[in-house]
Amino acid sequence: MRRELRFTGAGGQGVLTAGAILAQAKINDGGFSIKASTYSSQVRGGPTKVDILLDESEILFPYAIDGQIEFMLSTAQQSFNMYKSELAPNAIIVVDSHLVEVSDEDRAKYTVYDVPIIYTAKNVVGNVVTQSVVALAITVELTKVLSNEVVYETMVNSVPPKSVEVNKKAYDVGVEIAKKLLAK
Amino acid sequence: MAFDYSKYLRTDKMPTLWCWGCGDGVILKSVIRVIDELGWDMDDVCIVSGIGCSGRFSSYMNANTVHTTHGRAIAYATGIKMANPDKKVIVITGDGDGSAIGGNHTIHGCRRNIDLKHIIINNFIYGLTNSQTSPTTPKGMWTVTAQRGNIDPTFDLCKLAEGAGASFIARESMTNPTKLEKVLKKGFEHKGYSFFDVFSNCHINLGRKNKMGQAKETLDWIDSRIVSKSKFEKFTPEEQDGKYPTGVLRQEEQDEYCDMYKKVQYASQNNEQVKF
Amino acid sequence: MGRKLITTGNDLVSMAALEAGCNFFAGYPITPSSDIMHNMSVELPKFDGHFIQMEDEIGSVCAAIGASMSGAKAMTGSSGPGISLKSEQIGYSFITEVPLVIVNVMRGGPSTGLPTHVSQADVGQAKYPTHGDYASISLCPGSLEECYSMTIEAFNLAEKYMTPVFLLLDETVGHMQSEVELPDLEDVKKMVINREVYTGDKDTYEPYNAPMDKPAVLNPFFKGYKYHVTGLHHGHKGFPTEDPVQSQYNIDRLTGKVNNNRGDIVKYAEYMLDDADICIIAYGSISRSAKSAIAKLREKGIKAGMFRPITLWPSPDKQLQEIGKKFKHIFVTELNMGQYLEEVQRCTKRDDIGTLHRANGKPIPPLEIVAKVEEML
Repeated sequence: MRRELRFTGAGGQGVLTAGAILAQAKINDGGFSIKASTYSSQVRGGPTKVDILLDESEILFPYAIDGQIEFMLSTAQQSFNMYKSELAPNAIIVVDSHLVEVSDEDRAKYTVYDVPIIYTAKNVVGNVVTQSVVALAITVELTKVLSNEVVYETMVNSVPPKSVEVNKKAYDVGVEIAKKLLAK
Repeated sequence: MAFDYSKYLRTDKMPTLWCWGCGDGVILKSVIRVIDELGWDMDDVCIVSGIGCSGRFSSYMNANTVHTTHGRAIAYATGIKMANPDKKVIVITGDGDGSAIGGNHTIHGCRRNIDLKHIIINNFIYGLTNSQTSPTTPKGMWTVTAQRGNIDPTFDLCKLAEGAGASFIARESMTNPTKLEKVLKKGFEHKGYSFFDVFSNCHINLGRKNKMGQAKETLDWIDSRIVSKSKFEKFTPEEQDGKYPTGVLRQEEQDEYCDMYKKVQYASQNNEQVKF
Repeated sequence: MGRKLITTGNDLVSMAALEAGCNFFAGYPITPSSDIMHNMSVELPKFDGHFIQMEDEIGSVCAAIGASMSGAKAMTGSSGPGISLKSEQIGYSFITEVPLVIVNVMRGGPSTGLPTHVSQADVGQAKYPTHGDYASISLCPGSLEECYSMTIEAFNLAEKYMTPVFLLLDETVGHMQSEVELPDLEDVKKMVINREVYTGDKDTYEPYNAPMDKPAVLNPFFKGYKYHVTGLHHGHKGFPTEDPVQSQYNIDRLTGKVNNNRGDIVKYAEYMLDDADICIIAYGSISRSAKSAIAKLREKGIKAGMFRPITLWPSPDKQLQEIGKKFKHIFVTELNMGQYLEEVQRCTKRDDIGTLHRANGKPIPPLEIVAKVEEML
């Protein structure tokens, strides 16, 4: 079954890397994936999104389809506002609670989780660059699009050798956060 | 013994299409004599020209020759030189070709200091297309597009080359072939962008309409505008007005572009940064 | 065996260029094709190749042509506005018969248009990029694998027919990232074609004395085979001529060497056409939507299939003529307002073709094609 996830933020935010690792993990798992990025005029700092499409068979139409996106991660207000309109009803939204405000209307429409992702990376894991891996772990745990094992292994092989250990910690922290969110 | 030009010319293309008394032929001969003096093998020489009377220059030389589009000779030559850094690339443009439509390429050729020998044959007019104003046409002159007198300020091309960073800059006139050969030789021996502003005559399409109908009158007019660099420097600003210094105006050792690119290749192959 | 990797269309173009033996790239920054220039700037110097970022679009195509005529295998890349600027020099490449690969990652136009959005708006421009008479070659990949294979093919055609070749990418194909399987490098090297070289007597060498429908044989510079290259009409040795017989022959040969070699040049793909009543014609990224739409139409019992030109120019005219005769319904969909539709109409001579065209920077989703096809039945 085709599944569609959207990662949004400001250009230059590492959190978008989460999408790339997820797409790679699906291929490692024997499936098909496409990463379709917007190509914003103002590349740095501008609103950016990447759509990750996952399927068991070849993906022909390489864009997210209006109303079928089941999950969105957002770490910037402008991109949140711009890219939420194509989400499926009841989609899961994870926002960085320090950077994005969600209206009551949106909270009624979607399942919204507020997580201080960048703060967590910096202060709990201890390195701000791990924000993408924190976000990745939360995504996988909440959506179950893939097993934690295959994503974890892909992540370990994707991050720079120097930061493997700190990113392993980041992944565990992300999974714990998601588990607590689900338990609520 | 008289100098034998035939070795360097495509003699079957003679006579040239240039008008009787045109300075382009004098410059052609000077370039040949310098190539001979330097002992360059014509197999290793590429002559690139643009569009205009000067554009025909390349077809007369028995070398690897390219007649390009209007204004783009320097850009084509840049590709040829980069792909063949050990070969000699001479570029011939006119004043309109090299400073109007192709001005941007001249600027950036100078700035990169790529080892091209760029001769601007500066006859102060668009000759081939019948007397339109060029960036070097003196103020007040008649042109077909300025029949009440040219109001456009005159472009000093050596100052342009200087501002853009060419490492060798010279000006001479075809009225003095001996001096012309001397500066061409210095510039051809120089490693880097060698820029030559060579004054030439167009008594047909500039002279006749500006009370210099006889070829000699146009040549005298050119001579009246030039003065050696050493004399020029002693002139007062009033005396300098309307005069153009000749000789080698600048010669400095600077990093040459193809040499620098070799450093990029080395750095890329050894995973390091270019050492400056 | 093959090689598997995860990458984008633009990255595959630069990778294939290098593997085809490209050793010179000149470019100028422009969205959305700059990625290709970035890659070439990094990779070429590793293999003793040359990269230069020129002062403008015009300069970059000139430098690439200059390098190519002197013996290099050269490429330049751009997008619509840049191609417009390069157009005079592309004409020079046609008439001088200096091979060149030009990548155009298309964006919406005219003018600055929609720089970052998907479009197929330069299909018409690729046919007639410059003034005068000539026949152009344009390839349009529809998948990541084809971004690689058609780049190799573009270099092969440029070298074989001594002409500029366009590689037309749309932004979707250029930026799509997924896994691809490529042939092994040794197999690729066997496929690479390099231009013919004359080895006979230097004095009797006539680079432009070519038979009808054949290209000139231009030796690299600096090897003793001296000749003249000019954008003017020229005779056998390359020197300018205004002779009407020679000038007409030149044009007949320039157009003939492409148009009369379609059997060798033209590439296309057919998908589920055997039992189809409806032939959908689409190319580039839109062919992907069309494939997906065909699956949905067939679920509904509508027998649709697809004809996909890969070589847009010269067009697969014979195949299109056959389609005109064979299919009850023909449907053309493109991300422009009908630039290839005109060619389909010309070849099929049909006036009942269904269409779905768009030029607003948005892709065409499969369900829209389904709805439009159903409407025409």
